[in-house]
Amino acid sequence: MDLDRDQMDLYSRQMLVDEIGFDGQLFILATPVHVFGPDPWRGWATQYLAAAGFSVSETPHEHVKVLIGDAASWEVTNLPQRGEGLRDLGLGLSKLLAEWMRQVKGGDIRNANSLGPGE
Amino acid sequence: MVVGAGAIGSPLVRGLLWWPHLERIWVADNDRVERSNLPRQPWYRVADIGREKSRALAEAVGDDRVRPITVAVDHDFTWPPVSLIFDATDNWPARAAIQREAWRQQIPWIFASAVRWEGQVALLRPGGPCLECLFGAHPTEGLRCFEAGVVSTVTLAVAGQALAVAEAWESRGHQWEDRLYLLDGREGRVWWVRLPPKECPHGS
Repeated sequence: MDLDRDQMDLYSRQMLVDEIGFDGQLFILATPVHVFGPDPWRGWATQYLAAAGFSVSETPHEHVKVLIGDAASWEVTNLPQRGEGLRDLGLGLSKLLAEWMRQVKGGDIRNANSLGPGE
Repeated sequence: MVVGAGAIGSPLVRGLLWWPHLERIWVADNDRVERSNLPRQPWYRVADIGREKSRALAEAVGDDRVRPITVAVDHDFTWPPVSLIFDATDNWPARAAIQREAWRQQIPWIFASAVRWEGQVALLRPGGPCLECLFGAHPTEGLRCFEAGVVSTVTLAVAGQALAVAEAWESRGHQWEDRLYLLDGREGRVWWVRLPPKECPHGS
């Protein structure tokens, strides 16, 4: 698997982050994410994760829950519709991404589609 | 007013629309949408590449309260009357221009920045600590996103923290304890450092 020139440009800022890098971006592009939750949080999470390169599907639900592949998840209840809620959504997704990235790059798991770098 | 329609400014503008009493949100940015912006600014589409960011953002949110300004905020910028300024820029000259105007209008401004997995936010009010008090008289630019990279969800969290600080400022009747908020995306946490209550020697 490789990235074309537009994809390299598109994902350049997150690939510059050491913990992600080129190989991490390939994992992202090969991994499905499912977002459960109410509006507006489901929409925010879906937009950000899809823009990062994940294949995102979504389901309306009472509480926010995000599953990356079948390996990592984050769940939260009662996010307030104000700055604090936006901040906590961003921090929760960031921590989930960091933990998942540690797992896949550390070799603990493979992404759900088994399409890791070099394959 | 939000200065910067990028990774911090664009979610901030969307969050500000939750404030029902807000009459107008000026969004100033002279940049144009680039492909590398799209992962952190997901309201912009491939078709927006090359368009003025502030205008594209105003269209994307579709709310008449949001008014774009497409010129740079610098020393020569003509400021509209505003009650609060959000810094969603990525450079010190723009922040210095924001601070000068905040001092002139005697209004608070909110500093916000993000790089890699970290973010910082502080509300700087008239009479309180200023940018120089926090970072010294001649702050170096430090690493910027195009050099060090940034995680999109961290910029979202920083926008949320900036919004939360503004909400707290309004709800507490401007009674304020000066703090610098620090966000860590790896650990998913935010904490703060209390800024000492001393008079700013730089003119705030």
